[in-house]
Amino acid sequence: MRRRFIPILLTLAAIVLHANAQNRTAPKSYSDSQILHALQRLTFGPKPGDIEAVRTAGLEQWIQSQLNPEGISENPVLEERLKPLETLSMTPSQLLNFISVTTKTGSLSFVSTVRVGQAPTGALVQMMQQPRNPDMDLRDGKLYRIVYSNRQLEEVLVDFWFNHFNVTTAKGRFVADYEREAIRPFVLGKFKDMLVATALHPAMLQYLDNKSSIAPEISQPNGPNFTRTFEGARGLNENFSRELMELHTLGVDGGYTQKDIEAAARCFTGWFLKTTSAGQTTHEPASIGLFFMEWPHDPKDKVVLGHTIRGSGDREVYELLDILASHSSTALHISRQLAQRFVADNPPQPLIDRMAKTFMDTDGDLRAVMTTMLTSREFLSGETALTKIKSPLELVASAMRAVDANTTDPAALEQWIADMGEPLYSKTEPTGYPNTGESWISTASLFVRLNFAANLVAGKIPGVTLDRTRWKTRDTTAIARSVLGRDPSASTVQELRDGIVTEAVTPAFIAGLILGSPEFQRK
Amino acid sequence: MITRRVFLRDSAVVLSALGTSPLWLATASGQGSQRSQSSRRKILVVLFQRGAADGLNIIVPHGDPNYRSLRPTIAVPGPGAQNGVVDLDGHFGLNPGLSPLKNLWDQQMFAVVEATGSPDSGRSHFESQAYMESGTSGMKTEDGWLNRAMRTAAVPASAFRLVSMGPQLPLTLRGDAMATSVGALGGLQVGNGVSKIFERMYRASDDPALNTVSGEAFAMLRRVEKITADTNKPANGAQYGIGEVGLGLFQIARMIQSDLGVEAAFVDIGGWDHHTNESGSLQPLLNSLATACVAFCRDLGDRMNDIVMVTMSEFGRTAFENGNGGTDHGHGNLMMLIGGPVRGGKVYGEWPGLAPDQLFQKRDLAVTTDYRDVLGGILTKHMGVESLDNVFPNYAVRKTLGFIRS
Repeated sequence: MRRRFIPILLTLAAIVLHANAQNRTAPKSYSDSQILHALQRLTFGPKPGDIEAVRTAGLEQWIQSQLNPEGISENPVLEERLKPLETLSMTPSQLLNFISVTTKTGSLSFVSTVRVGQAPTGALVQMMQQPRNPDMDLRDGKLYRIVYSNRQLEEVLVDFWFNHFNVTTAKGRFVADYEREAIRPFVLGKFKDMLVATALHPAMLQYLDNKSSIAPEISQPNGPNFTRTFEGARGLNENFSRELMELHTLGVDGGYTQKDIEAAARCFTGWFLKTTSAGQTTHEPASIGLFFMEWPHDPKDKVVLGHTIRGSGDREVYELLDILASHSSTALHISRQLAQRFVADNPPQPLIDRMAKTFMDTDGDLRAVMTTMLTSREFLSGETALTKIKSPLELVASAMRAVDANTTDPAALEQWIADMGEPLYSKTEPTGYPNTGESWISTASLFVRLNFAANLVAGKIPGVTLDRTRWKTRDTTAIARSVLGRDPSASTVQELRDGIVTEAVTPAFIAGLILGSPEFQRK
Repeated sequence: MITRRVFLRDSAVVLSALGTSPLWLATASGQGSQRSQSSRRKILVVLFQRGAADGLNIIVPHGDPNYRSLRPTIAVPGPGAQNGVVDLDGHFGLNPGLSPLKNLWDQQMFAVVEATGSPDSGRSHFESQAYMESGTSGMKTEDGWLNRAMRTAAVPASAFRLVSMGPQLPLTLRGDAMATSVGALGGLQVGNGVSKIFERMYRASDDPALNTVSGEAFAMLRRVEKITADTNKPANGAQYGIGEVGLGLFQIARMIQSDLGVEAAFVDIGGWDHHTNESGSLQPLLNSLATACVAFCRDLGDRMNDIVMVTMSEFGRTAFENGNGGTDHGHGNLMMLIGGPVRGGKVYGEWPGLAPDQLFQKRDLAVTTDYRDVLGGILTKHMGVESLDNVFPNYAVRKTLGFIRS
């Protein structure tokens, strides 16, 4: 805990140089509830002692440090947990060879569906534990990072941006590489770089079918390649270019038309995934990579959003993505999405406008956009504190962190998250999961949340340990304060006092009730 | 009756069953439920095989001369061979994983409709699933076909009328008619001390959203108290096996046995996207499906006279196997029908054949029966739905196949 804040002070000088003019105000003091609000939104939930630590460091300084994660030394526990997850660092080609080897030896069953609908029973947990496959590494890695990482804002942003550029393990294999190479490096970098990296990543080409799209004229009866299909396709696939405009950049009201979608799809024709099988005799490894081929590509000029993109083969997509990334609709759409995640389900329009202006002024510098948001009065004042319902992932992570629990095998935690409605890396729709909170609460998921809370502190979740004697008192208010980071509501205190009628109740049991309380559902 | 005091001291968790069994509704309530003739509603159970199940290796066309050559390494061996198909009618046979269904076939409670699907030729899982759950071809609607079919008010109203066994409501069931995902009731033990404290906290909370949702949730829980010790275990020695389909059907049977007013139930079954190593994975998956269906029929006994189960999947798989011992996204598929009202022991639909010029786009089984013709037949002949106009927008049912007894 203490380790986290030492490098912050060391890098402070550098940070101040980076900071925008608008946050060069005199150090201001913030209340504990404002600090808690920032912790709730910039992390996966405060751990015991976090409020005090941020108070000591200064809230604005702490926010700046989180905006510069490279200056924060990482938690050695996390590094140790991630080490055995060997597929997380594999390139698509390496993964392909890994899969083909393990498939042949029969040690890997490649079923990527998350089992839903039932809390893990002994048998199911056993099934989940063996044999390992890349999807398990992916989910475990995520759980370890959100529970243990000192760079919490970076993890929140990876979660946000992965979801923005959603792909799923149910359609495509290279999701770990996608997150590592196309999302993570850019979450505080240039939006344009992330847009290019995601659009031209094998995972996205698989997910939205862009890997098999051909200019339709080419495969027409009078076209030059009538008899050929391109990766099984005989025509244009607009799946990707529609989502590119609607979800990734401009937003549904961003001012594009069906013609723009088609023109963009034509820019992308000819891009495909080239797979080379392993040599049977030469023992050459298999490989997969992105390639561009001329013949299926539409060679003509295209007009997208009023810009003419000259027919120039593989260079067209970069021009297209540039147009989209610098569009004012994109600036607004991205700003709104970020504000929805970090500030409020219905974020204030003036804030969105200021963020969008920063976006346009800085050529889509996401660190600058985040700085505008996180140093704004709307955010720092805490006026939207506790207005957002936690997502299942946030609920589970924040509970783990609130009671300082440890995990050495998060499979069961992942199942709880799935049972609450958010199976990780398994959102099939390109929309990703909602950034708004209200949609997460349903009659069924509420019970899962309550059951999870009670099971966590009872030590009944496989792979998770916690010190159940960490609460030394049976005083409900004191326990609630330790779990929530603030005072519980008067009604919750009252109902707990009236409802618990026996002396036999342990402090840990009360902590479980608090984790299931209405207060803990919000952030 | 577990007293609060004992419960709190001994376990300090919400549910005692978690981690051991799917006996999710074990309850100490002593209220009985007298089943009356009037409460015997017609019931439809939809089993959605997500991921595009390989129909050709499920109900195997072993009599088709092209079947084996299209699938040199993954074809299911012929009848009589080791691990071979269980013949049904000389042309089709069951994947050996489905052999438990042969009894239902012989009892004429199990039928197959061959070469079903959607005219939409997209091969994207999520789009095709969305269209099929919308009850359309190539268009997504906000609500699902089954919800639209069930819009007429039920008397008496029941929160359990349309139920899904997963944590989220599938599109099929979303819409104006009240539908509930109940999978997650899985464990909150009725009437114990912890659930009472939770209920108190939420009822007293001034958080409006949580207050409303929890009110509905706990009200549902109290209805579940109708489930008695008698109805909380499978009848007639039925064995469901493990896996999501077994757990799902087991829970649906409990709700039916307890007269909670179920009319439409939905179970998701994942794991069908067999691009690689299909032979190793398909048979056990089919076996869990068949075991669960047979257990469901045995468990519910005579009640099966009011119940039709139907399987569906977003599309089929390529007629030929790929280079990885699997199959890729295809087109035509099949639907299985189980239940007392099913005129079973027969394969319905027109078999388009597997010769190169018979395949759709030279690669997939063609579709000869629209999936909406099958669902429409069930809705009108079994569920008593009068008009399908809103259920399947822009589609008029073309065929009456006669698979429901009149």
